Amino acid sequence: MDTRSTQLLKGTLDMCLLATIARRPCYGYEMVQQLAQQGLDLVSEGSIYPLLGRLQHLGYIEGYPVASRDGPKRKYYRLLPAGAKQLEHWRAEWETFAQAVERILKGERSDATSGPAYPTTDR
Amino acid sequence: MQRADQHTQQQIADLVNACAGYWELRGIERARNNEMQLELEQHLQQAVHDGKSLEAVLGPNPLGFAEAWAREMHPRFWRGGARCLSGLVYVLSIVSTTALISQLLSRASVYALHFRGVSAHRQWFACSTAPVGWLPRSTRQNPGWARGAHARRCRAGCADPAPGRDKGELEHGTPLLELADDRLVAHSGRFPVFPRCLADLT
Repeated sequence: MDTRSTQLLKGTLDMCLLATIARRPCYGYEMVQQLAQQGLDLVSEGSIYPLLGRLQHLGYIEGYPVASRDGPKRKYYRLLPAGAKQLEHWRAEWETFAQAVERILKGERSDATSGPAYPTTDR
Repeated sequence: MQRADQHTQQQIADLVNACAGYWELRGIERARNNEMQLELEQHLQQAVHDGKSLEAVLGPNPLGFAEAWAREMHPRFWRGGARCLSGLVYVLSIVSTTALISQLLSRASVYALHFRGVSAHRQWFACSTAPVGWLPRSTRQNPGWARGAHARRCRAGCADPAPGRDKGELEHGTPLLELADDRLVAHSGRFPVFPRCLADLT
């Protein structure tokens, strides 16, 4: 994965994790698998754990043990009401940001900056 | 889930133990530490089972990973305390550096000159880059009443002693520029000594 993608992912991974947990409660490795299925491959999978810890401290998610067939209990994470509210805020923020970037990349102009497409000389 | 080979199992155990030891050193409570260990071990096991490397989970720097996780698992007041501590260390380092630099700057070089049987000592800041300065007050400085016109005439290298002063001793306030112009200072025969040796030279 190139550096730009890594940087973009770094800035949005907490939001992606929150959105993944919002779909249904899951454990760490499961989240990584779901992100990979959506096209987000993490450089180091373990980087989700510090973020999960932060989200827990912020009161957005909570961890709880679930019995596993394969061995000891697994720690699952589920969304809390504060997390759901925060996710909505982040989602709106991201949409605004992504739309602005998309407009710029497509070369569209907003009404506020309407004018000549390129500088012209005065005659 | 199929278990990895013994060597990989050992690697996983070593990595998990190393992280657990680090977290313990970072003051993470036992129950939480165990929880983190278990979570990491399960992730590593499953990743290896899926054909991934351990580096794919921990990245190239396992210590960095352990540190990043530990930082997030500390309660808020600990993080605030760590910030205060780092601020305190920063302030102390500035104070100590300033003290060290001022100590270096204030270390005077003393030059002993012998000319026509007259002994004179001169001193100024060894590290000063300023061309003009003022001599520091000497322990042998005369009181105000003794610094008259005669004393002012007895500047650098003067053979006549001013009242209450030894031969060649400089008056307080002699501009260093004047000393720099003095060929006695500018020529060979001078040598630096530490201020404490001053009494032995004069």
